[in-house]
Amino acid sequence: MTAATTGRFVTTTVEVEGREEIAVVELPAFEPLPWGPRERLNLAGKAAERLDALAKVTGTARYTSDISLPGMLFAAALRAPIPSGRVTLLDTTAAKRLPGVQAVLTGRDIPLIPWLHGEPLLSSRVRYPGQPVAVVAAESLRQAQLAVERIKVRYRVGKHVVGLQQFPVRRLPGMPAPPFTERVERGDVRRAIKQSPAVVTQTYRVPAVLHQALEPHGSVVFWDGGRVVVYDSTQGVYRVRRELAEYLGIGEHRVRVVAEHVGGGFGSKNNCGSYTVLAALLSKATGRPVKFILDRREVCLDCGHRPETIMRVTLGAARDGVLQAIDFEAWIALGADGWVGGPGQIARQLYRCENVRTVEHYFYTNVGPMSSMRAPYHVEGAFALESAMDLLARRLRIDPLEFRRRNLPDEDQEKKRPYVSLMLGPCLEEVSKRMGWRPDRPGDTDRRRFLTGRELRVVRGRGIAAQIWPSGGGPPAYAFVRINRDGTAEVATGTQDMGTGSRTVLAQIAAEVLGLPLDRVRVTLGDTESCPYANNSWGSMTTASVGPAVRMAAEDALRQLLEAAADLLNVPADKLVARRGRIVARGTRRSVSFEKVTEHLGDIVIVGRGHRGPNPTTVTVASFGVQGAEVEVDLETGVVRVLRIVAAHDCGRAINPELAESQLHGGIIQGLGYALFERRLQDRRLGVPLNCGLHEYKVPTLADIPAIETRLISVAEPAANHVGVKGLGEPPIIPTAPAIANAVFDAIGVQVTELPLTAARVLAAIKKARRRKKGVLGVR
Amino acid sequence: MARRAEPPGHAHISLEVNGEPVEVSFPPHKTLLEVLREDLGLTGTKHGCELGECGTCTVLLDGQPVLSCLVLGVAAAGRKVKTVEGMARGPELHPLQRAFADLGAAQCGYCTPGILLAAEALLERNPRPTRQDIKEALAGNLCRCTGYIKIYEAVELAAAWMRGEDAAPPEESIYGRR
Amino acid sequence: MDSLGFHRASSFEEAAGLLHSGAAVLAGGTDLVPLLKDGLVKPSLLVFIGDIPGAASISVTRRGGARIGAAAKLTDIANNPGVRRLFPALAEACRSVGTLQIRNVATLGGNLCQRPRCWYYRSGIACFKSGGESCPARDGLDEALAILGGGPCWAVHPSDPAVALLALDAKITIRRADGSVRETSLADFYCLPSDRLDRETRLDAGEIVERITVPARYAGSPQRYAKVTQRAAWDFALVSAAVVWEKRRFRPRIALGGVAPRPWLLDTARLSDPPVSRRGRDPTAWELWAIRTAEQALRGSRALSSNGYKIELAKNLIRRTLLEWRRV
Repeated sequence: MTAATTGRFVTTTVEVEGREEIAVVELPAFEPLPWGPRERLNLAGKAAERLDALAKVTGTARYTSDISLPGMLFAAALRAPIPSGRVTLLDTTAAKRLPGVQAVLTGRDIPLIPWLHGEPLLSSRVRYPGQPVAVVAAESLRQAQLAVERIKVRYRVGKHVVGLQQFPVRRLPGMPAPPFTERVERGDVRRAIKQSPAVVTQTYRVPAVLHQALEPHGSVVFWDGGRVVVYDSTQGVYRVRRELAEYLGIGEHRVRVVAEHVGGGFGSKNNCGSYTVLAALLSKATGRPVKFILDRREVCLDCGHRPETIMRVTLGAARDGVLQAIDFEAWIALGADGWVGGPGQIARQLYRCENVRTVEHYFYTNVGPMSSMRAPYHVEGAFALESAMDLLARRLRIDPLEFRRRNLPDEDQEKKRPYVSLMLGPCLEEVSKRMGWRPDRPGDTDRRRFLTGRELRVVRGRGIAAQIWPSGGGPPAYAFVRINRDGTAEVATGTQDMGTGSRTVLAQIAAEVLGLPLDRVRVTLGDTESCPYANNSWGSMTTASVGPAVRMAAEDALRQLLEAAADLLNVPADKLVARRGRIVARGTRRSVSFEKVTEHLGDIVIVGRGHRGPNPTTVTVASFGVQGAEVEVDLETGVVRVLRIVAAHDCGRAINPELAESQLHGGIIQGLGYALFERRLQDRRLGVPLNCGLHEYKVPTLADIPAIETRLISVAEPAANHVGVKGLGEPPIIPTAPAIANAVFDAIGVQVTELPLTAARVLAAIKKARRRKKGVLGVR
Repeated sequence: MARRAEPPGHAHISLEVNGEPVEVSFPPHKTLLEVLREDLGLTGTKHGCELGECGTCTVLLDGQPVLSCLVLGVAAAGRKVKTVEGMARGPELHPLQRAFADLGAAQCGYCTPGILLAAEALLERNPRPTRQDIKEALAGNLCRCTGYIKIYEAVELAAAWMRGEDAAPPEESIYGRR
Repeated sequence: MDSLGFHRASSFEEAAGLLHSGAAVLAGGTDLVPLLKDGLVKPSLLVFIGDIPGAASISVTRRGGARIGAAAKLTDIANNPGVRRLFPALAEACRSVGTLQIRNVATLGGNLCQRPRCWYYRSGIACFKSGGESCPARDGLDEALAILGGGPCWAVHPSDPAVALLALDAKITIRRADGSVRETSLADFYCLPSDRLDRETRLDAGEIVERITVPARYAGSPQRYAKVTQRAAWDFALVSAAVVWEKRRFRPRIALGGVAPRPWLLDTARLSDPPVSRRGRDPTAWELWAIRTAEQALRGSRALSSNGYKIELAKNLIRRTLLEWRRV
């Protein structure tokens, strides 16, 4: 049987980064039997060294900016320094005359490519600082930059809005569309709040923050006959191909996108960037390869952000600590463009509550377009929800952990169906156990001394927060597995590895099926020409989407190989299994080595094809996690240091626990940055960002990290997919900031309601705590 | 005795790169990073910000870690430069490279070359670094993927190997339980 | 930048002679190179002083104090056994600068002459420092700005070593274009924006810092440099403080960083004497004195809309540091 060529097509919903989309999916002709929790696996589920580790530690791994082609030109862009307005003069004559300059393109010189709200690429209408106005290609980067400086340009400055300084926000003037609002309600929130004996309301603010992947965005593009080849630092080679083909008005078969190694993405490299399109246009204009790598300032201005958000949360509970109502309203400053997801989603899902209302108001503002950033919207929403939970726990005089324990969900409350597994409780207990969490503890006396006197310099606190994330992955995703005559195997799939280790995980799955050692399997990805379609590396979807496709392709290839082995061993194929490099006849001693079979076949090609089948429709697949933080607050300086993070997350079967652990570490440290340092600073009057660099935009350094204890609740989930995996890339960043903020709350008795928790804000809160010491001391 | 300033044009310098004498000429405004990547084809050294803010471009200059994006190429004349390409001896990896690979201390890998060199300089002068020593040596190398935990562990493992100890990564480390 | 010339000076005399308008001194380059790349300075000639014989020398004796060449690297100062033993505040201040990679090339002279880190100035927004006519930071995000000595520019001076050296009453030797030298105290080396807007020092055109001298008076005296940063590493000070005790009279010299457009020396005459009697120190009296001193130190400070926390922070830091000597 040639598998999967007889697919049927059905329309269903798929979930991407928390959004639901209607899509056609292909039903597989066969699905392998799920690897259940008791499945005995040799490779899948065990730590293995990254397949690209050697290349990365020796400096031979080639990233986009390392690509150098004969005759290659370098591109640089003129970017608008103003937040809003119009280009009134654009004269490139002098720039074109400079030595080395091969092309200067403005909006007049390129085809009309719709880019932002119907305005074309290189439009004269400026909507954000850093918007490209013109591009240059020259023999050297320096010459291109000099030419940019020589372009004569004048602007008429328009009105601008950079953020949500004015609150409550009503209408932002001069924006392309009126603000739009998303409203979801279940139960009767107003009545439930009125009837709740304990109610808290608080407004929380989070700043715009940046991904700051260390490899800057960029592309190297050349036209090869009628075809354009793009080396790109991207999280989605197929998406870039589709979008670029559309922008250029050519067929997808004329675009090849390659991303062998990607220096981080975190959501900022999800789409075809303007730099890619402009590099393609410059390459076409000059007939030479063009390299367009952004500098850090450009990355900070025009490569997306997590949006600035204000959230007002009202929670109501009964005296026994059972949540009665959640009223969640959010104002989101998208930037010049962006997609609507929703910080309210986590408020509707994380805890059991019958009466929930979420209202989200979206605004366009005059900063670069927003893009997904690791667990988009959930990170923002979790900070507000989990902070409010601690506020309410204090009001109720219930321990915060116990309060959460009393409000665990028992099903997916939005879809009214069970979760494939509901690990929130186990994660909570794991963190409780590892932190030695008890409602009363010796620290309480310290806190009293701090509030009453000036004895203490530092005070410690602890806090917890939880998380939910849709993590089932889904179709479509495809893979090929090719068996070579020497008994090696190659996997090809159009996903990419931005550092997560997908390359290694997929190889482990294929090697597991084929019974081969890992070093006899090679994975090719990040190339639209040699790999079949897979989606972006986003939404914590890759292992759960591409993993099953790779397994199915490997099973398909193996089945074909077993038919050949059957011939050699004179045993029916269905009695054969692959194990440790051999094909073994079950129940007998007869076996043959894998390469004996492939040699026997000679140059006959065995290719297995696999694809991802649809998700289950009767259950919801979600990953849960809980983190606890211990912090130290310096009462004299307001500086917060995190001492310890304890994290428990569930991910189904961890194909490679070491890589899974790395995802936890990385997410936690980004969450720590969000809690303590990170923010895009913007001047309200001038409408421009002020910290477009890696010093003034502060990401955590190695000196900032706490002890991190991770615990994977790793149980195979055969009901989710036949590999038994759930996603883990995004979840770990979600609870970190609220756990830290709750620990600071615990330490000083007053909430800092705005991130990051800077010294200035914490000092102000300490002052407030001391003023209100009676009231605060009355609690607990 | 004041000499006249050298005229604008290409600077011509000789230096030692990864143990080999090298002569190279380039416009004098070029940084060492640009000279290494563009004129000498050594792309193992990465650029992250070009303003001395991320540590990605760290190389060793006379054994000291420096940011090659801040050092002008001309200032490297007559000096010894070591890049990630010079760490392994033929096929034999430097213990740090081995430890980083073994422990998964490189994720996207973009910051890895710079960190390896900063760590090499540390272990060169301090075979038994404390946590504080590692902090001081590596705090200038930003990494956005790993959370740094495995970097700490890899440096400590490599240090143990280089001291001749038969070390394996601990099940429970001071940086947290695995 | 394409027509940029480069000259390797062999003496400070020669270097000073080349410092016509349009020339810039290059030592470690950790401040100059980013300024060049951001287009905030546009010199036609770089005069490199890193190879001048003796320019990086560090000599420290108990009798003679410290003599440190302008091109001495911060790492070398921080690790110098003499500096660590006799002037630990300076060693600590040098160690707290930037990152190891930066300290390995950054020089003391360059650190003292570095330009402000004001978000506005560094973003290329027109301001007094870049030849503009206003201070956009004063009307904008002002949380990093000065609480002392501000106006019309409010950017704080970023140097750590300058704060320690100010408390240590260091002198600066300056070479002039005509080959002569002048010496000035560090206190007189820096100026306020009300005196001079384009620079932070009184260095004139054609002048170059050659050497920094720390008097023997404070060698081995009790001293400390304390720095508060948001991040645990690679950060400029929110507020920093250097406290150096005069050995004979047992009075502190206190300097602050991160609070003013120049490293800020407190007027010792305005501070009360510490409560020291023959029987030693009474911890309670000492604490009261520390609190009073912190209050006195910040007298005259003025908060803008969101930098008021620095006043409290500076007071706490002074108090905390002085309390280290509560018991002998």
